[in-house]
Amino acid sequence: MFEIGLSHYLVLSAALFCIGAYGALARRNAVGVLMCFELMLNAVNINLVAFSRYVAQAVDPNLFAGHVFAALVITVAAAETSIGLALIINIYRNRDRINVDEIDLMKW
Amino acid sequence: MNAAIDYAWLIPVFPFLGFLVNVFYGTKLKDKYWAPPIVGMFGSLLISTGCLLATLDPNFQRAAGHRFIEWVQFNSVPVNLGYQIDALAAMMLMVVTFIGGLIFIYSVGYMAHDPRRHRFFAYLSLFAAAMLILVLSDGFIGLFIGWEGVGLCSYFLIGFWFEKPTVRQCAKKAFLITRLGDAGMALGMYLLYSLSGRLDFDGVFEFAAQRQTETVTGLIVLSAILVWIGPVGKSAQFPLHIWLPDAMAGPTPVSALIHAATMVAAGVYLIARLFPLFAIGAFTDGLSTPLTVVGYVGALTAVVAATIGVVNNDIKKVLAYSTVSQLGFMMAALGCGGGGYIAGVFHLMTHAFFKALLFLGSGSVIHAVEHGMHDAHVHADPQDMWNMGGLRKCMKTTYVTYLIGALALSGFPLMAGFWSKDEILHHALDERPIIGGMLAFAAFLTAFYMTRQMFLVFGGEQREFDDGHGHRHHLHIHDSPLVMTVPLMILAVFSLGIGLLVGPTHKFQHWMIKSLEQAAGGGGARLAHHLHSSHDSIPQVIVAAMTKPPYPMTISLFVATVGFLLGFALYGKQQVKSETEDPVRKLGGLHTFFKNLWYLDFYEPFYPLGAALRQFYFTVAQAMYRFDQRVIDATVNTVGITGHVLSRVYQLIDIFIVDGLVNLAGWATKWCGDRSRRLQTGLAQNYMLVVTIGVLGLICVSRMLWAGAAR
Repeated sequence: MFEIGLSHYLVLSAALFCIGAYGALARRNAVGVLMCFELMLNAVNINLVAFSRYVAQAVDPNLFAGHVFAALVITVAAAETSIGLALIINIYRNRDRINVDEIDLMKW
Repeated sequence: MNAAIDYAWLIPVFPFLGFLVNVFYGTKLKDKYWAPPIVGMFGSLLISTGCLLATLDPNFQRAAGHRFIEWVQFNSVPVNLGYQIDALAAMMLMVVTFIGGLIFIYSVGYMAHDPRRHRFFAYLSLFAAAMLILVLSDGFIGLFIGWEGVGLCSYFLIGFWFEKPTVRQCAKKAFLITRLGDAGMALGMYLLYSLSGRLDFDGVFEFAAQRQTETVTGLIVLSAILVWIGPVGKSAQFPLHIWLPDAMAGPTPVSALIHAATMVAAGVYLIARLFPLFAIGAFTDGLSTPLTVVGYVGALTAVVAATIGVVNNDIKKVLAYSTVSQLGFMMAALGCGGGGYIAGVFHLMTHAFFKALLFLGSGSVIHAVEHGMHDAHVHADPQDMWNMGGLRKCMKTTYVTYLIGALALSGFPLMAGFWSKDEILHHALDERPIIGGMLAFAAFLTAFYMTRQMFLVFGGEQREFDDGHGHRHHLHIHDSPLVMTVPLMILAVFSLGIGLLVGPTHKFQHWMIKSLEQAAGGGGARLAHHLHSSHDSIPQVIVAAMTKPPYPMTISLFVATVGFLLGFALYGKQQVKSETEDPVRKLGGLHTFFKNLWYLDFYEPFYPLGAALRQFYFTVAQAMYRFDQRVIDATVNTVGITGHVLSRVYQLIDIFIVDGLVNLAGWATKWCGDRSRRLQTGLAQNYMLVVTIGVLGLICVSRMLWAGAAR
């Protein structure tokens, strides 16, 4: 039986982040892209909590900055997702599609 | 200072505004074409009257130096356009505005059926403006502007009926001959300017009075004579008088306004205005040279013109020659200096009234006869006196007023012309008996030809005309409308009364003498002093009149009476039937000589000379033309072509090198932009990918650097 340590969390976090990053770059469906952002943010959250637990609290058990930061990230992520969904709905209403590779309004 | 004098500069402005309105809106005015000029003239008349009243004030000081424009500077001497008011100017202003206004009103009737009547009124107005500038001016420049202005208007108005070729030629003749005089005047002005550096009258007079050296005095005398050539042209003095009779080709109101009452009087006015200059030398060492010239030429003019007038048959031309003759009287009077100055100026004023009256009367006659001939389908000259006769019955107003004018001109006792002419004869006989004799002879002729004209036009029975069908009948002639006869009546009243100013009361003399005294340079003052010695106050004047030798008055009465009696004997006792029985034909060779205008219409003998000159000038001009074509033009063309070729080369350099560099810079920028804009795909995921790869790359680089640094 081995003990689960900091590195395990970091590996999990890195794997989640990579999956999220790949999805954000490769998926065509805009909703999927948003979901992948969530994955990446959550990977970061795991990272933050893990460091808080294993590094900061090892020094001083009363330090909760990492946890608080994770909670903040979750709040911001929720707000960001709601704005993203609103954008997607508007794009869908105006252009009848939500595939990001077909939306090139920023083109020259 | 009197308000009218402060606003005197408005006097020429009003008619000028009338001119502008009629020129630009003449056709839109329709039946009111006469309104702007007449209203303008009335405004001028009001201000002129104000000026006249101001000068009549015994405490009046000559108003000079009213500058309204500083025009140019020559050698740091400013040339101002200014005006001055003294008795002479005020008198002339009244003559121009009052008689001019009456003639304007008369023209409304006379020109009523002319299609270009609005233009006629525009010219009249412009003429009045120019004449008033001339009168008001206090320097040579302003005077010259007005002088040329009246010449120009005279040309327009003589040639008003320019459809007829003869009329065009008459207009040209008048313009060119008066220009000849103006050239002399301009030379005189230049000479005066180069001597004194001044062009205002006061400055010139002061300079002339200094008489610095003998040479300068001589040159001033010369310049005065040069200036006098201007009036010789304008006031129709011998031998440049030949244009005035031809100027009768214009409409009759023009003859009255310009060629009797005002413009031709401008020459006399000029001599009077410049009298201190002309009188240089007078009263210290006898009479001056310029005045001598003026006087003798004037007397000669008076005689020559009177003799021609005696044999002429055209009602207007008789009056024209009489005008020339009377202008000669005025000049001769001025030439006698001293009292002659007053007499000449006075004759200028009285003559303006009765000559305007006579011309307007003759216009009325011609107008009526023309209509009568037109109605009866008779083709004859309506101006020929031998086609008239008996008009006293059907044109009563015209007859009475014309008779008054004729009597005034002939010097019938108590009429205007009697007083002024008597005064002239008196001074001429006193100062220069030869001039006096010539003038007495001219006065006799005047009385004679006016009597002849009266009997031919108004006396006897109406002549009969053949209507082309073998029937002989009279013309039905009616007197002119009121708009024409009322000015005649007003002028007749003045012709009767105005002589009283000088004759018995001597008001005019005192008025003029005071004006002369105030002239700058002292010349006028010396002259005035000379005059005062003879006429100091009214009682003394009466004494002087009682004691003065009776012969001048007797002579003037005698010559006029002889003229009247001779005219009556030849034309009045029995009507002369036709021109072939004209008693003046008994003069024989003299008649032919007079009839041919003393052979003075002097360009006619010069026709062969003119043709030769023309041929000579033509040859020279042709040679010049060839030289111009082959040498000057060739040079110019070579220069042009060289320039053209060079400019082509420059053009190529400009296009390919200068423009090429500029275009290259633009083109390169555009090329780079075109290439780099492909990076912007517009796809968010692409950007994200680039960011990701970039971050990964940065991490790798920083790791390697960090690792390197750590090692």
